[in-house]
Amino acid sequence: MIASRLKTVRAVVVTCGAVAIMLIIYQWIDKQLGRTDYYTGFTLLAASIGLMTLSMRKKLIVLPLGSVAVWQQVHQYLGLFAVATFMMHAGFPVHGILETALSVIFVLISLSGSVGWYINKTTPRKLLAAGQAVLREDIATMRRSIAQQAYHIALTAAGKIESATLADHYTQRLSDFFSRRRSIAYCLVPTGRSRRELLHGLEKVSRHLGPEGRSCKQTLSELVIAKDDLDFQWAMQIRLRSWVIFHVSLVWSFFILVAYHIYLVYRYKGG
Amino acid sequence: MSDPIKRYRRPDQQWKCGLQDKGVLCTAGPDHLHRCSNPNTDQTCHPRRTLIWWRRYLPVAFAAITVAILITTANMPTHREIIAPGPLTLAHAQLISNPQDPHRCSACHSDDPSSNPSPNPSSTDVSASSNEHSTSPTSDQPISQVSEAVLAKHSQSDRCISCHSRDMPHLAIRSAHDLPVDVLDEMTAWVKQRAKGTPSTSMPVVLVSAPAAANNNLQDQPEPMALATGVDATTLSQTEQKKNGNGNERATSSSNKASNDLACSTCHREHQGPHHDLQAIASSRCQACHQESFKSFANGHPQFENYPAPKQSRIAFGHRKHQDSHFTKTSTAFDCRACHVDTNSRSNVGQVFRSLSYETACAKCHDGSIKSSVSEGAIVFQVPSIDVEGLAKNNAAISKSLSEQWPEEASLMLDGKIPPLMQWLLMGESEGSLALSGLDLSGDLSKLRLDSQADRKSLVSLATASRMILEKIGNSGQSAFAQRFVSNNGQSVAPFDYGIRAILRGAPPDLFRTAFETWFDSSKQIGKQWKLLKPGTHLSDGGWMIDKNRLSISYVPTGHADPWLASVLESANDLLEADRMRSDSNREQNEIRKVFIAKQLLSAQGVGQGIGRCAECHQSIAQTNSTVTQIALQGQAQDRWRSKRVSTATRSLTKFDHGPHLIQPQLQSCIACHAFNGEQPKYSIHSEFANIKIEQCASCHHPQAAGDQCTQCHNYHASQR
Repeated sequence: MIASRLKTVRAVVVTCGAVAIMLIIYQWIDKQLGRTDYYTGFTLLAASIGLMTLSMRKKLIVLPLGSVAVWQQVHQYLGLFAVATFMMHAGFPVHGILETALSVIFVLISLSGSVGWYINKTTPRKLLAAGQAVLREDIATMRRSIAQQAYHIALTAAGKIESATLADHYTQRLSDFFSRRRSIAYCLVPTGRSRRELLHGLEKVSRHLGPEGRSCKQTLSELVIAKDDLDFQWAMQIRLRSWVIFHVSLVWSFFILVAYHIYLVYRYKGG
Repeated sequence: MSDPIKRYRRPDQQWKCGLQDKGVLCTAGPDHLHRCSNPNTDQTCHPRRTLIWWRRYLPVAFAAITVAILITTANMPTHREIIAPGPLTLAHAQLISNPQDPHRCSACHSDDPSSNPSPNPSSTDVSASSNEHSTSPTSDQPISQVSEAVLAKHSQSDRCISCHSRDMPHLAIRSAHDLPVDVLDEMTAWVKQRAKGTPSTSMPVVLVSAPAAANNNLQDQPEPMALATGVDATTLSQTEQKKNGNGNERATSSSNKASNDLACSTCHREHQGPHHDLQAIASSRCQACHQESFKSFANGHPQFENYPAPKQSRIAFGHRKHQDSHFTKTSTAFDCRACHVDTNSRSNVGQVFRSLSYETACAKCHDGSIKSSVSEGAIVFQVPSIDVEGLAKNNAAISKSLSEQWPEEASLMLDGKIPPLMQWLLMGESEGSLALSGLDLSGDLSKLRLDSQADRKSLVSLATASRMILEKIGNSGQSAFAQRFVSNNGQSVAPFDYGIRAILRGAPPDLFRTAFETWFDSSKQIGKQWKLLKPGTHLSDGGWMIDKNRLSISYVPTGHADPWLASVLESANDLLEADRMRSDSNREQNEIRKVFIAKQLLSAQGVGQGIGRCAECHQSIAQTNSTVTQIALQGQAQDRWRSKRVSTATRSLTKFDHGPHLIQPQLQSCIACHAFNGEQPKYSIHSEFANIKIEQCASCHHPQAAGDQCTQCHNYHASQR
């Protein structure tokens, strides 16, 4: 834990040092009446290309290029450096339609990168807290199995007078929960609200149930918890994979606009 | 392939079974055409895309959309608005007002970057430049009307210069402060010497001719300019010769190339929005080139030297004398603002002027004495007092008619002096010149002797010429008289001709005829009953009159700035200047007399008789063979009378606005900054005020108060139209 924190501190110090050196050179060029925008622009381009190397590294798994975790960390701090360079380059407010579009895409990439950083850091811990990790491809099968179990319990309960209320409750409140996937909103921000509401509903029904009915209710409650845990695992894994798609997709647009931006800069450069 | 379920768990598959999300276990999965390949399934299966597919193709889709948007916008009429890195400042935007104008960008940017010339067009060959001149944009031509072919040959800075050279004609030099590199080197050497504590001379204010604009094919030859920076005029002259000589000094001077290739965009960044200040620049950037760098204005800025620099003025004025003597005598408060502040107009330093008009600043005290001095008027013509009878007794060949008709009042004895203006008139007649040859320069008749044959001859000529002047002007008008000063080839005999014309300007010929009939034609019996009138009371508002008392034609000036009197004095000044410019020292008697008379007219006593006392204040009109006269001769003749005002178009390296300073309570008294140095000025170029110390300014000009940016007090572009 201490070693990990030391690594983080070291990385932050190195990043801040790089930004400081960048600032010093910036001010020196500015005092020399040099083109600071060229300096920051090409530094930003170099940093962006450096950030791109992570995905290349991921594809070149056969080459001994160090662990992906190290590359990931370098990518994160290089991203921070790129944000600082971008602020020096673009300034505020940003003028021009093309420049604004370029800036918006850069900001979106940075935000998605930050979100990814957060997701990458927190998801394993959350998945661990939610129980045994399950492969995403198996979740649908397991969910179906749980739904079938719940259906059979509800069917059993419906055949008895003392637990008919439980069957009605299943039909009204639980059937949809077991048979359907969760919403996109749940994917983005998975919460335990539905789970709590459903468990609370089952508790309220239990006073109308006999001993066997209560036993069925208990089994249904366990199935609600199991289904919600699976949904949580599914949501976390979907989120973990989806942000990367968004992050990488924007990068392509970004580089196309950067190329056009550089062309325009040289096309209309002063002199 | 032995475990089909495992295959579906692989993350590299782009398609998956359509029933997978429903929890159905498929043993086959999609085929290579993304169709269901399981023959045993009893449900309808539509294979679905996995996240891997999205990961692979979504970025491609984004890229395709981006490219499509760029291609679409490239063909839109508003394409230039889209690619512009921001709105132009208001000043530039209004010049290129139509956003759909295809030449909107090319007004400032070259359409073909490869066709850009060298960064500095003036470094190109002069002959080439001159050849291109006809096809180059000029400052009079809107940039939007210049053809693309012409514009493509010039860099962006050239295009800036083509519009701004009207206000800053030396932009074309494209070096620091628009100064030639040699001048900058000279100044740098001076600063280095000062840093060592061994400055050979103080930095003078000099007149500078701008040389480099001649090399620029975008420029017309600019007017000479004055800079408030010190460089040796000789150096500048040499620079000019070098540039004119080979026309390519910059190209051959590689060591100076860097400082001579400054693009406008180095400091002025466009496309930062309509309200962006294009002139804004950080003080730290100013120090990029300067030898002496310093932390702030209060901490390290070089001490002011000779600031504010005394400027050459044509009006002699002593502040100390006025305060201590004149204002004290009249118990009047010596308020600087009364003479120096005009809230209705603006100078380079705000609403404060070196001097206001006579009417505003001086009339209150000086009107009375000037009126008094002109009350007797200036005698233009006077019947000489000649002893006609004595002449006749001494057998002078004076005609009988002249002898009989010579006014009785002027026939008693040889007395008086010929007035200077009349002497000038006499010199316009051959007979008059003959008469004057016998007189001394003052025209004193009493020094003539009737027993001298030469003197008698002069007197006869004088009488004849005097009569002739009146008769000719009276009968034929001014032009007939002035015609005598046109040489055989039709050229005017200036400036003497100008002097005679100045005297006769406004003089009514009828008055001369009346005077002739009054004094020389007894048959007319004119004026016999006239009262004796004093010019001052008879012509209280000025004008021409026949002075019966003095047998003269006089002009009574209207007061200060009388145009007739000014015209006469200007002609005298011209005559003196022309004489000064003559290289030979051999002068005829007539020429010596002309100069003598001119000096008499311009003396502090005025037009012979103390008229006007003009030269007391207008010393520049009275002096010659000095810097003062050089100052006086700049500009139009009438400008010689005015205090020299600095044009508002002037851009020296320093600037100052009194406006915001006079608001400060501690600065409302001008003496807070402009204290006397205890010296009386010999002339206007000698300041009677102490130099301002940097500490006086630094007390307010620091970052926490009035600011200490370089551009608050300094202009980068220095020039004068």
